[in-house]
Amino acid sequence: MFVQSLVCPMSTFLASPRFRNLVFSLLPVFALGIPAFSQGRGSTAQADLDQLVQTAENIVRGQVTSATFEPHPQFPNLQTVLVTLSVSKVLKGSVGSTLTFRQLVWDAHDASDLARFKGAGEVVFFLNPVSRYGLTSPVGLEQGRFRVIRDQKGARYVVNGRGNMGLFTQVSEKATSRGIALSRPVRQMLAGAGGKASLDSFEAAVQALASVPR
Amino acid sequence: MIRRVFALLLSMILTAGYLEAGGPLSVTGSTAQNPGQAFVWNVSTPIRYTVDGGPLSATPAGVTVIDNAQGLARVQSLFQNWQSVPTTSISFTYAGKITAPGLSSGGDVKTIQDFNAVMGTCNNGSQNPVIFDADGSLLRALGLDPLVIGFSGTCKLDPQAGQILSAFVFLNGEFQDGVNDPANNNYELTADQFDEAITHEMGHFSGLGHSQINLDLYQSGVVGNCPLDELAGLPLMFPVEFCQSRKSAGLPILAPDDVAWISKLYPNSSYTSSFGTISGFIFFSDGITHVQGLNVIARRVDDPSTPVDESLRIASSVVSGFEFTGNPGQAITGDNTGGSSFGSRNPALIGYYEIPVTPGTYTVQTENLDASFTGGSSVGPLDPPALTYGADEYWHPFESAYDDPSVKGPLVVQAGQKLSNINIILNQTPPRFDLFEDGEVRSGQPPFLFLGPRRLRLAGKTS
Repeated sequence: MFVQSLVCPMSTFLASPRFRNLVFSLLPVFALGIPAFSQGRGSTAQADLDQLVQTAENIVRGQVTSATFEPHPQFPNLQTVLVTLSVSKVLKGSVGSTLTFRQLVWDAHDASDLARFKGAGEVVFFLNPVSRYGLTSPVGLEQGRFRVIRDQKGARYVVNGRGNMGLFTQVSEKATSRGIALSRPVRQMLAGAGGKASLDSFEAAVQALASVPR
Repeated sequence: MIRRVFALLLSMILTAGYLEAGGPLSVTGSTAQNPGQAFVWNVSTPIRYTVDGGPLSATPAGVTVIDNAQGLARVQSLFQNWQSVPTTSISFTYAGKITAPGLSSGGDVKTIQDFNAVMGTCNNGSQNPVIFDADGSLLRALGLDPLVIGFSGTCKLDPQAGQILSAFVFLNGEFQDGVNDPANNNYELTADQFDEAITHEMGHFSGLGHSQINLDLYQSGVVGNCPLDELAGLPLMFPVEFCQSRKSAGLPILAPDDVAWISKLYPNSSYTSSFGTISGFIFFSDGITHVQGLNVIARRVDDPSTPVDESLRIASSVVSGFEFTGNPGQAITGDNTGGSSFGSRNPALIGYYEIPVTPGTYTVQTENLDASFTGGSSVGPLDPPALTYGADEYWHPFESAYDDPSVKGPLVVQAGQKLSNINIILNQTPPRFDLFEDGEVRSGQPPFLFLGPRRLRLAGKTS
């Protein structure tokens, strides 16, 4: 970088394809980056994609259209956030075009900071079964919540709150053991160590894994 | 040049009389007595916590694996991890079993009704409960899943004084029930791994936020056996636990960054004789505009005479602008008029950082936060993190927007010393001003009002 800064003045660099690529690659971060909502802080064990799929009752892609903090209707000392999603794709479960769910909020920082919950972009949620008290959450907290980001060519990718770390570990083997046939792009994705994943391959993998429960 | 001089003067002014705070989970907002101050406990007396009266862990069949006495001893031991840091004044004391209206006298929190009652006492500031969910059934009732090892939360804050008034910790004992059956969603951790996760949660309970050091280890995709030097410097308060347990690797449970920040938030009388401070500002390439949200790390310079790499092992960090709000608000769209209730609105703090370090020779560097650290994994004031071009740079004495970002300037820090104005100007960042701005900060009314083209034309006709 130092050498380049000497031979390449700022104006030249700003006009360069490298800079444009950088700006475009960062655009989704600024444009879509606000997560649907904070989970509050919690420690979770590492899960792979198959575990997330098998544990989730509903897996959907969509946009958060509202997020409202309110006490639980039966348990007034429990703060919750009521989230409504406009669903664009259902990957698992029976969900209509709108999905509303209620999640426990356990930290006063989150409950008093409504502003940060607004303006979510496109997300994929792996949601736990709703408890008898009407509560659910993303499976593995930040692991079951994926942001959808776009690159400069418009291609869409997904990444969860752990950078997809460990997400694909041994998933191919699990799929094979259950007789699940995976497409080549999906196999290539699962062979990776993590990092952003193609939305198309990701969704194909989710649907394939969901089609044959363990 | 003028901008750089101005920036230097500005930073010198700001450093004087600055509030001490750092690595905190959150800082006070604009209505506080001291905006930008870390939320901390009043530690003039030990923090009193109550503990669940039931077992810490039981099998799905209901057989107790870790009974209440053992669970209590475990909790006391884990709080002790923080309390035993020799340079901190934070301390904790067991105040008996959990009590709440309607809860059994034994204090066993088993149902969502029990949990609701206990949270009522936490919300009103009268109790700091440590809750055992022996078999994970309470988690399920709360809509959470068996992957959750534990969590903590602040129940009540004093936003004016910047004090934490009550908080809680929740432990999922299913991870210690001796049953490892992932096919049926029953997971197991070693005792050391479980203890580290809960000690991390107790760090949040104490007011600490997440820290990012040795990020390359995380980004390499390594899960499990991490190299010892990098593991040694990896904070327990790193957002994700992905290495072998520190204890199993022969390391203390707290990394130097954890020790530094618990000491900075709660210093005792020996703090100033054990720590110094490195502080400064991070600027975009114009040398004026502050950069918020960059991770700033002070690393000990490696000692070639030792077999270990001190630059990986001994490091402390903070996020620039950690005292400034992550959401100042805007009134144009939506309902974000006031923004976040946390964080100072003083723009002079946007790029400020301050890092506690033990005496020695250090380098200071900046880097982006990992883009995946959002929501519950977030680090610093911005969620999601802002990615900045040219973020990777070391400080050296001749900082400019055209320097070599890999050149490191060593900084010698003595105990009690406060090294200030260790400012970094990033290279090749996009321009922050347009052609008609000079970056000068004016106070009061400008000397003349700009007349738009129409006003100019009218003025021309009448003159």
